[in-house]
Amino acid sequence: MSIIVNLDVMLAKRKMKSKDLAEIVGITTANLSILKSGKAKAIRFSTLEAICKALDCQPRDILEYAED
Amino acid sequence: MKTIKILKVLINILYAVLIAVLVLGLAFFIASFFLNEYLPFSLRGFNRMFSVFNGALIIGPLLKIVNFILFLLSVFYLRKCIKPFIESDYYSETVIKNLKRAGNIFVFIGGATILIQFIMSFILLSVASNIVEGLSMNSFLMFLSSSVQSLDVENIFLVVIGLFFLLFSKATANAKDLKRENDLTI
Repeated sequence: MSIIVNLDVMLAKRKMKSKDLAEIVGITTANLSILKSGKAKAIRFSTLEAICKALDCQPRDILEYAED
Repeated sequence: MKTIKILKVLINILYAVLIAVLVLGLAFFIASFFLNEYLPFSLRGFNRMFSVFNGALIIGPLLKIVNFILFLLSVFYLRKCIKPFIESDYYSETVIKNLKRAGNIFVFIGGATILIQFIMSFILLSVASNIVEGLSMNSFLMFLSSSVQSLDVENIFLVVIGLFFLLFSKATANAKDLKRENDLTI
């Protein structure tokens, strides 16, 4: 897929664990893992908003477009 | 939920009855060949049917037997769909696969019966018009008459039900994809 999820990078930058982020955002760790691995088909604006708020970042810091 | 339970009971009864008929039929078939003298008088001589009926005429009874076995198979496939329905797993691969199989069988049974009945009545009409004087029919009239005789409601309904099952199978496959996409939306 040409949309890359840089959630791992942001988590490392903020020194936050996946489990903690999942708890703050209100999603399961399994779903966060799906998002991190790039297997997710879509992301809700509400989830993106919650992640950006928790990591204090912009959507462009998490999502990136790269040509195949 | 109540609907599924009623459906389960009915389909189990139907399956059991069909199996019983198949077993009894097979037993009678074997008995008529090997134990003919032990059968009741009215049932004796069944095995002579194969020597009396020649090539074309055996198609009718043979088609009935094939249709019965195929119908039993389709009920077996439909029975397999019940378990996922009870577990509320409506979009499983089992449901999609078995609905498609049952649909294909229903369409085949209905279509094949209509076709064979048409051919049989066409042959019989042409034979009769050759034998009986004054029954000379032109080919269009024979075609029309054969068509009317072969198109019975039961078989058309069977084809319609089969096509519905095929459509349900396709719709379920589509729903399964949508569900997967929904499940992967975070």
